[in-house]
Amino acid sequence: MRIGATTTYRELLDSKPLRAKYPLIAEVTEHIGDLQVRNAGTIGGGLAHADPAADMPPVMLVLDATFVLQSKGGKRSVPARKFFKGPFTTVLKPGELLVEIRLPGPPKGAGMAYASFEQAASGYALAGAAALVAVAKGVIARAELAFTGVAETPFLAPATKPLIGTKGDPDAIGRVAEAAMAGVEANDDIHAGREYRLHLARVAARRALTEALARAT
Amino acid sequence: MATLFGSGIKRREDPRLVTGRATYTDDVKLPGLLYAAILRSTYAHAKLKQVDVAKAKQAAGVVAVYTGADLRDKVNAVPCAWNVPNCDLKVPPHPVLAVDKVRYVGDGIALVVAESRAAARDALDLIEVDYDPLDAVVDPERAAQKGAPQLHADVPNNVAFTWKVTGGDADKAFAEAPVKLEQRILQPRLLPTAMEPRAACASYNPGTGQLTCWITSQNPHIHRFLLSVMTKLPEHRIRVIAPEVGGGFGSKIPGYADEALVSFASLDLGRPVKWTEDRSENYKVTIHGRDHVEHVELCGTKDGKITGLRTRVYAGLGGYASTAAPGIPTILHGLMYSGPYAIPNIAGTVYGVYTTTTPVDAYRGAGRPEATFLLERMIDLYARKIGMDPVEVRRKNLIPNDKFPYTVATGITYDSGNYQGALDKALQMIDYKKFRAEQAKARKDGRYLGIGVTTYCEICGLGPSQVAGAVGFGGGLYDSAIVRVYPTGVVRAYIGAKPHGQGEETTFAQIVADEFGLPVENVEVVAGDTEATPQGWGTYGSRTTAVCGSAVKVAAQRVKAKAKQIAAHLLEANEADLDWKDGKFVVKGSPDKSKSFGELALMANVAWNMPPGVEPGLEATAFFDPTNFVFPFGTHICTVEVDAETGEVKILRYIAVDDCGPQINPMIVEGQVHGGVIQGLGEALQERAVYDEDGQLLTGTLMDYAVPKASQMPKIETAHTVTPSPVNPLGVKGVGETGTIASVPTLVNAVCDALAPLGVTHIDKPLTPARVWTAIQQAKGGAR
Ligand SMILES: Cc1cc2nc3c(=O)[nH]c(=O)nc-3n(C[C@H](O)[C@H](O)[C@H](O)COP(=O)(O)OP(=O)(O)OC[C@H]3O[C@@H](n4cnc5c(N)ncnc54)[C@H](O)[C@@H]3O)c2cc1C
Repeated sequence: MRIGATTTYRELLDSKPLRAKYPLIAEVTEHIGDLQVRNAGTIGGGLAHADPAADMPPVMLVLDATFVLQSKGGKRSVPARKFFKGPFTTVLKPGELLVEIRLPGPPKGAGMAYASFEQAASGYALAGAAALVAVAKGVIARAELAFTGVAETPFLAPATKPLIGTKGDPDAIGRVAEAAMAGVEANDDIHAGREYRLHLARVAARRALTEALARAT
Repeated sequence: MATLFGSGIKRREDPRLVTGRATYTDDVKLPGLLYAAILRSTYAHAKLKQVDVAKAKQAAGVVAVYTGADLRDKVNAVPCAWNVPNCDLKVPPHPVLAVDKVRYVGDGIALVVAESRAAARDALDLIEVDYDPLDAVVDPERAAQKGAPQLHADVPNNVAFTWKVTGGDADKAFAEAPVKLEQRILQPRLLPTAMEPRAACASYNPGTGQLTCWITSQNPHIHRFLLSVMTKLPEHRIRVIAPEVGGGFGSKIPGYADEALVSFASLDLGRPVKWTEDRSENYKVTIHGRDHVEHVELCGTKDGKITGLRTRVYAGLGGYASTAAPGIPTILHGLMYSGPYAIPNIAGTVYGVYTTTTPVDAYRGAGRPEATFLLERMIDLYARKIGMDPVEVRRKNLIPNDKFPYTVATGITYDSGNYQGALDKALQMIDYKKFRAEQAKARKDGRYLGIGVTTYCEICGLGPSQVAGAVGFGGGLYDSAIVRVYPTGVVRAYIGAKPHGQGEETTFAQIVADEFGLPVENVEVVAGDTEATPQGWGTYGSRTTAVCGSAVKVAAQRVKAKAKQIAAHLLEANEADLDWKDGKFVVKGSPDKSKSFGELALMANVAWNMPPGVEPGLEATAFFDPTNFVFPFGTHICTVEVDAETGEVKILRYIAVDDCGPQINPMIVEGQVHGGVIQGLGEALQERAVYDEDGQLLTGTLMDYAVPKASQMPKIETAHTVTPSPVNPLGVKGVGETGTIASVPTLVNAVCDALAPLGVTHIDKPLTPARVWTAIQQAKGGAR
């Protein structure tokens, strides 16, 4: 599926095909700002802005989206997983626009979920986790987990492998959530200290993976 | 005829407010209007070595630039108007633009006046300021210690005042008491966040010598006086207009340098000048609230009788003493240490302390929320210590219903009360016993449910002018109304107070319409223009209905008495033989002989046939000065569930039982309670202004300062008891601040109660998930 960069959040919410194929996008969009923000804000603007605590980037990471960037000189495609470089910083070059978001078809029977804890003033995530879990023949065939709000950029958890081939019991999920924070330099600010933020990220990971697994068919 | 008093009619203010038809100060547009912008200090504390405005003066569109040095002899300092006696108050000068030193981030340094707002703002960037930075100090307790950075030359240790309140013999009580406890309690600094930021638009007419100044004001007559002091123009040549005012919460009471600056510029340039702050400027410059560090001790018996309370409070004042600042943590705080309880021995010391931060002044509740919070928190800690139910401890100490008027140990006398009645009603609504049983069961399942019960009373309806004088308040506290009847029988009431969201345009019309038997649409209420309204003292301290509403009532009664004289004359009857019925004076026993209010209005205004010696016209002025404050009270209860894994607090139910005497408009009362409770829950759960060590405000925008949103707040269940006040003819008490006063300890006590099994005793506000989680970890002996 391809989404134009200037598609508003409202349009995402109103799109039946999108809701059917990527229900997670609609679910997360409902978290973003308020009615006015969703009516005016665009998915491309939000991604290009690269706020390190924005809700949509981790979704793009777990769905393994590809971003089409265009300048006068031509087009190039960049995987979402390589797009975010730092707080409010991306691989976009001067004179280049994000024009399109390409989403590969989700794996068969995949369940997806997002869990986050909001900063009370801004509504952005103190810590949030998106998860995608696909089940085949009664065991987990694929598991993706990504975070926002925790560090300088959204990031994909490298270590979901231990879940593959298992039924995803709570202990295994807990271990993956725990491992995902190993070595992470978590943000520390007036809204959440480092230790609490890491704790929230683990809780979010566990809740997102558990819910995604429950939704997988 | 049914009375309008007691009827929840819709607020007449709302249609224009919600359809964007209201006129605010920033909407004022005048021919030749210039725009002002103010350069603000980026340092919390620094010497000003040089302010170079040469480039700014040259910039396109710039008309004038002024520095502190330019204005030193032309504009007087911003006055402090509450000179609390017997506390060695030190108020150093607060120049309208800093001259040699800045004392908070946001302190004014230069004024730019230009042809457009953009040109004025752009020119700020061209001003070069050479600062010599000094150390900042933001914590009031630290600022009062020896060796802390000194803000003002003549204020040693930054201590602006040391105020004491005593009643009974607290030291003796503590020496003898079997149970003693102490707790350090923080009341974080809050940002009032009125939806409309402050603005001022000044227009000096060189022809008439008159200055008109539109100000976002809760008290235009006070602003007229303060402007007169600062600009040196006599008061009778200043007209202050407060048009629509979009909320204040206390932040639009004080006099600020800003309105003096635009007024001076208009005088100097002969053209109108306007200034409007944006949210970032609002957060830096408009007063903040609270900011106490409190050391509190309570003592009592083993069976729940409180025998003494002692406090030592450091109240942050910011860089300068704002208009009412000294009175807030003293008169409006310490005198309420007894709350609704009979506490025989009280000793409090309050230090007012200058810090390199934005000035602090009245914020919704102003001193009383801090008093109620510390008392209610201590009572829950006491109850836990002696193993008694916190409700029973409260019940045991409440002032009995048959003891009013009751004088507490701090020396003030409560007008009327039925504290047990409100408590019983609230407990019944929540079904206290049932909740305790659920809580016990939930605890077995590893879930954390909690309940907080606050019994409160507060002092408002400010207040007798004689008391105002005795406590150093630089003005009266009576209020006023002119009730004017037009020839066609319609009425206007011109009032001295200035409602800005509280709904008195509606409720005062209800009072007048009732008096004259008119439909409410035939009465208009006018406020906010010193040219039209009699001397009054404004809207704050939940005083407008109790004091100004009483003036309206008395003025209307006077009008009616005159109408009766005219009716008697026209009907050739004795006044004693007239009955008032359905909007008419009727001769007793002769129902066909009557004069309607409309007929009398016409006759009085044309004066063709007046009683001998009676002047034409039908209007009356009343100045109402109450004999005492009013003391509304009630019980608030909150139940919560805490997610011990994340520290998140979920409010299960919130119950507010308030007694503000008879209600003129129950819907408006409910709205005030809702707003107050939500503002208090914001304080309890998520609001906090944070400065870093260098005095930079880290919560300088709405992205970081968490004003509560509707989606974050619970449903509020309201109920009332009705205990009239004997101190005003309406019997009413204020209800603008009760919600803010009662809700903060209610929520905090509920959360501490929920976490009692984990050993958590106290958590500092606001109870963000991060803080609750950290408190749980600490109680478990884990993380810091
Ligand atoms: C009140 C409020 C609350 C919010 N709450 C949330 C929240 O809870 N969670 C959350 O995730 N987000 C939140 N947001 C952020 C919101 O998602 C983004 O502001 C919005 O998506 C930006 O989209 P826009 O189309 O308005 O982009 P703009 O604001 O127009 O653009 C943002 C930046 O990206 C650049 N840009 C825009 N489009 C492109 C493009 N196609 N290619 C290259 N560069 C581009 C712009 O130049 C600009 O620098 C909130 C915003 C507001 C105002």
